[in-house]
Amino acid sequence: MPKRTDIKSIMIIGSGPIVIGQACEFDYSGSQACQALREEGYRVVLVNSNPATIMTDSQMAHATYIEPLTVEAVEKVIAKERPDAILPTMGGQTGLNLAIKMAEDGILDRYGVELLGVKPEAIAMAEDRELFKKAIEEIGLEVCASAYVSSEEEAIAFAAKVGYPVIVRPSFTLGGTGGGIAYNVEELKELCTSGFEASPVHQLLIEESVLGWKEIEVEVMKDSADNFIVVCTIENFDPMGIHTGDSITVAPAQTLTAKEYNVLREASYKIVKKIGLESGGCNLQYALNPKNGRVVVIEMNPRVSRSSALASKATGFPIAKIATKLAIGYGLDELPNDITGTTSACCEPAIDYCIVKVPRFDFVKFPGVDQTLTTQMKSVGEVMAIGRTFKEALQKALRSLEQDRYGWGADGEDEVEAWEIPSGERKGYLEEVKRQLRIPTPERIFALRHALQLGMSTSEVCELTGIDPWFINNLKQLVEFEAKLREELPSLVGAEEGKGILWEAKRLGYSDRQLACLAGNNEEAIRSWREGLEIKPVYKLVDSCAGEYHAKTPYFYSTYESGNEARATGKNTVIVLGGGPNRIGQGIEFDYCCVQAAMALKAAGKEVVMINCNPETVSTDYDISNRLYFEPLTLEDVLSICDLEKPEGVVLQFGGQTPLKLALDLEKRGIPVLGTSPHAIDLAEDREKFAQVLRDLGLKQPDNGMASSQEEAIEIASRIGYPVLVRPSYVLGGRAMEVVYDEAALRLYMEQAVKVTPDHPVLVDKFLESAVEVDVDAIADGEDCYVAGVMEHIELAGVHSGDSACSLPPFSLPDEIISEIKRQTKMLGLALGVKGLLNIQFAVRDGEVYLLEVNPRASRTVPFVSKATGIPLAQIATKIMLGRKLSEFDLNPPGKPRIAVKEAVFPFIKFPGVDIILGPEMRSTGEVMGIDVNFGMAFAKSQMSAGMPLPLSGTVLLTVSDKDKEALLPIAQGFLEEGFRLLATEGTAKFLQNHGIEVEKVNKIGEGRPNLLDRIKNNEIDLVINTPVGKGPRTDEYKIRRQVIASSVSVMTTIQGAKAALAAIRACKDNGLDVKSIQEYYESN
Amino acid sequence: MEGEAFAGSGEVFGEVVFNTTTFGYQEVITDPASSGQILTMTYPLIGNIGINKDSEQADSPQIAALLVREYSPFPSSWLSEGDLASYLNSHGVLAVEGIDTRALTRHLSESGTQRGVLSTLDLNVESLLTKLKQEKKELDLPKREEIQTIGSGDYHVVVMDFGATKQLLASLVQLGCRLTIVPATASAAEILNFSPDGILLSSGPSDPASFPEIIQEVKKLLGVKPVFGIGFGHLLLGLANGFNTFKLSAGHRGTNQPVLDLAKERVLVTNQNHGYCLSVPGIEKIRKAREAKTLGGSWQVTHVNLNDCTVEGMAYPKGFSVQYIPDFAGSDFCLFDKFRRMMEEEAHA
Repeated sequence: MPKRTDIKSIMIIGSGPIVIGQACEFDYSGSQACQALREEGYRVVLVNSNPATIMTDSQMAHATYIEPLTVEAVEKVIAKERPDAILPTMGGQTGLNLAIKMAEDGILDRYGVELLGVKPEAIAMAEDRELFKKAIEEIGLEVCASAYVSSEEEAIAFAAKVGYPVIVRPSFTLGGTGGGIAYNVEELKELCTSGFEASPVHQLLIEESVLGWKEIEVEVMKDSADNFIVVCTIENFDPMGIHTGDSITVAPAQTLTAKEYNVLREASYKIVKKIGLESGGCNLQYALNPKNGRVVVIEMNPRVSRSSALASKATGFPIAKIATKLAIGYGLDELPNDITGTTSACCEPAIDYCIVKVPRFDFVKFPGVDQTLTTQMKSVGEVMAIGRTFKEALQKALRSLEQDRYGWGADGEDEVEAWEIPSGERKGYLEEVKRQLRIPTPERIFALRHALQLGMSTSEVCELTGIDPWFINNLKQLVEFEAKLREELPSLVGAEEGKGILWEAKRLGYSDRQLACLAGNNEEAIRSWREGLEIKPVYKLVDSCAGEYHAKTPYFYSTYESGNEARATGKNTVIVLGGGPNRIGQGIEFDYCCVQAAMALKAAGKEVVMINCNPETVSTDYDISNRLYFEPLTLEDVLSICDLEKPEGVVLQFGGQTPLKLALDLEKRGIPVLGTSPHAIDLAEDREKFAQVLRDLGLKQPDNGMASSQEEAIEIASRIGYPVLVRPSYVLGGRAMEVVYDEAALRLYMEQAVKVTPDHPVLVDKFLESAVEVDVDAIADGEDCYVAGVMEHIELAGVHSGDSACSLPPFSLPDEIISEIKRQTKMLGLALGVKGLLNIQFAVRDGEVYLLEVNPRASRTVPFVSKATGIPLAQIATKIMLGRKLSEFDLNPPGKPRIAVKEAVFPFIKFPGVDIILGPEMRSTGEVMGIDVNFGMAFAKSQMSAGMPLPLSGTVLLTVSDKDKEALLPIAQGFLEEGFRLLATEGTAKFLQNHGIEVEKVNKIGEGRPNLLDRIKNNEIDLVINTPVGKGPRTDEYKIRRQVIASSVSVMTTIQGAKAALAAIRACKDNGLDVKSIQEYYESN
Repeated sequence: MEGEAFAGSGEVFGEVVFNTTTFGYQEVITDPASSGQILTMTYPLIGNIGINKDSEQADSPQIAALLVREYSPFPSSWLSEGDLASYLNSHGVLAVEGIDTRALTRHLSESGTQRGVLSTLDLNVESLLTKLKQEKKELDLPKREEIQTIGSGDYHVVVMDFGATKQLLASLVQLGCRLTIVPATASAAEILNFSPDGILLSSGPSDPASFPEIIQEVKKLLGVKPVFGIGFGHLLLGLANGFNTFKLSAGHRGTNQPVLDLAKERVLVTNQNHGYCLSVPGIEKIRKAREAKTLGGSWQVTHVNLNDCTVEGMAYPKGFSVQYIPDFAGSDFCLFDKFRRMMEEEAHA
């Protein structure tokens, strides 16, 4: 069927902020959808609250609303834009849920808006457990057997029928309280007791266990004429029981017979048809009993998902783009396969390589969290690697993770090496390893190596882990080869005779770093030996057709083979290094910058080469660059590509810390680094040198010192005065950073949090309590420096800038302070010789400006500033790096005055039991933006978007430090005027009462019950205003802030924040929510 | 190219082809249509699921040799009855791993499939090339000596066996056919003597144009009884109807070939294993698969390959055929159904 002409305008709903389980894969799908619809001539209306996305760039849609993803806001957008249809399947569960809610509320009918691709009934059937079960059984397939029971007898009878183990889930409890797995009748009885108690309706769901079964995913596409293809199969290395997002996964499936595959294919077709997916992409999950092949349907997602992003990158098949075109009426058979350009999109991709995806965890940010992997997703990102064998791809994936691993062990990074353990201690260690195999954690993959090295058999390992023997046997081959390498390599390095074993090692995915470790040599020696022997990687194409047709799309991966398909021209080439896996502190923002850089380079006539290993990103879309290398971002892998591409420059500024780490090494090898020189980067990061620069410029820093022992740290702290901010010098991005308030706390930190040595000193900075922190993004060209954005933090000082809400322009700083900040920024930009982007953090206290940190690279806030101002910072910075001057650009933000507020979003809900106080360690996964002409409204929107809307009525709890009490008066008065009831702790209450403000006293902690914590827990409080008194953690305020996060109550930690909240509440009540596209904001006059 | 033998030894000659199937190497290896080939699997990891009786399409491997990137010697499947290397070894089939199968595939898809030689005895390329030039290519169809009868259903079908797969025969029986399987050399008279309800021309290797005697016999069946051709049988039926065949440069070998069913306007993802194709008047002008509807008169093109617009299915007055390997148990039941209806009409005529 041809495309529909009865619809002209289509709305796309994005997925909002990055959270665990919903990451930048939906920027990838949404961006593809926008482009596909534009290509077809539709007017595209986009709503997404996440400014860090490519899709919210003003060129992607015709009208881009960076507004809250709430029914209220989106309805306003619909009323204003009157789209004919919504494509609800591109924005993850968030986008889908919102679309469905609007359909249910009758909003879509009211405005005559059609849902494309999937109807509410289909979604209900896919998501409602009972409806899904019924539907699946009606088409002759199976789901896990399950039953609701209300007595122990019923539970036992059911378990006897389906066999042990069984899963016990109490009905209507949060987070599975009282549930668990029963392996025998005794355990079942115990769980019944606890479960019935936990369930308010005294009911349990007893479910057949499929733990340890194979988990297979099938990614399919279907059009409205019922044409159906399987894009990709994915087999989970980790068996059922671990969320697929947290599992190592492999594509295509490795251990299916043709018959089994056909059963799954047929089942997928039936399910998609039964559930009623009209057109689009869909993800199906199955559990397969490895003993008898029995297939159980686990779930079906009638939308583009994380797995579909992976499948797209794994095969080259652009699922989101094609799904979009199917939604507007095309048939699969009418669309071409973009990769070949000649074949049909209705052709199932054929793969001639092996894909391994490994999740990236960030537990280090959440001390105390249970690292056991379960059905609840905990990873924050992922990497994908492509190799010709599983072994090669696995090793590449592990070194892509950027967690200081250079493959599957053998890299000198294991704390203990199994083969070094004296035989007498082996038994004890084996027990430890067995424990690690039994309980899945992110480290299990490395424990497997130890297990096999200690001589455990494949079957024993499989028994303990549930991992398929095929994978374990592959690992065993690596262990055997590693032993050979360890024996033979040391005497062979540099010798011609070693060619055979070296070639074999590279084919198995060993990195030079691993080989260096095995040979007892250094990486450089291995590299020159290898290159001397002409053992270099070749690059193969991801072409969706296994080489059957000629592919025009240049999407490459490295391997060690005979045939090279690389298409380097050696002319005019610029390499952009991506950001690698998403992690806390380095996420989608950097991918946004890399994509912008690629666009700017292309526009400047360069051949752009992109290197990245993150399958969720837009940067790894093959049409962003001229050539895409899906490769790890290690020195070895990057150098190999440079060797081939002979770039005139490499761009390192946009991928966060990942590429910067390579700066000096690349420069040393004569590879030109564009923009800010590696020397200047070093200058900014070297504390001593940087302090000298500041002294020369006459700029202030908080007092500080560097300690190489505990005593020294204590000495420095007492000299500069507590509180102090302490952190190890060798890690960046706020890791292991803490504010300590006294000597005891400092001792504890020095003993427990860091390993301090003369080589790894600890930095001790005076902590400026109650300061206002400010972030600045700027671009310098060597002669001039343009300050693009000054952002004032709304959270209290000491909260990591990535975790703090901030306002652009500042909402409370005086003009002279802003001017001073701009002046200092310009001085620094020029003094450091920055060519490109620059981010500075300042603290302002008592009218004094202090410099906290300078990063001569793209920062997390670049997309936020770009969206708020309408100035494409990353693009301009790229052009500056190519030699253009700031004076050549129009740097006046277009359009009307406006205020944008950024707010952070946290994953605490996924990590029960974790300490959830905000501090200098960044812990947010994502961000949202609220934009409006009025600061109050912008702030209100940012809170709505972050899922923490400010209350418009109710009770406000006030507890502020003495110096803030005066400033609190008008705020308290304001809340009263808005009809709020006020509660305050003794000191605050007294002060307010003395000034004639009606307030009720509430007990502090330790003053008797109910105290303020009880009140918060009982949902009696809607907003908390709590400014620090400066005694640090373990105090009441610490407990308060922890409780409000746990209870999802809004909290303001600064007087400025409290003012902001009041302004926001007033704005909401006075004017109500109004929506405006960024294109409207940018319009002049 | 060099690699290491993981099964068999010796020196073999054959047509070097590639197959893009990910699942089901055993089916391809044992498909009589693969007979005599030096088969390259584009999927690099082969052996993962071992072998099992159920997947076998003939009693033994049909290929001349197998080339893979990496052989997995540790099968993992509850269905596995043994490993691939032992299976190939026991039938003396040479198999080599460590080959850059992608480079080889790219070469074949650009220059076309070609004759090749593989040797564990002679490692001198020059000498092997000389031998390859002297090698006499023999065309052969699987040899069936006796006539076989299987099944007890209502429809009596004579199968002309040019290399029928076990799966095809089994599914026909399951769908209610009584099969009389006759050698490729059976005459029309012999066949009609069985008074069948219908005749099935099976799949098989190579190009039926090399067998003019068989074409002559099939011509005699046209319009007499319903005829259903599959693969080789499809080409044969076309030749008997006066069309030509031609060699596809790289062949269609894999489970992902998209075929448009022109009547239903639906795309089938099909399994194919052939190197020749049918040429019908006008097809060379077709750029969009759907346009093939306009061709023909007494004959009609029913199916077209979406990728290259080649003929995938034909309909004649009393017969029809498809180029791909149909799965009667699944999406292609309708083809069998069509055959059954023709047979019923024939019975009532």
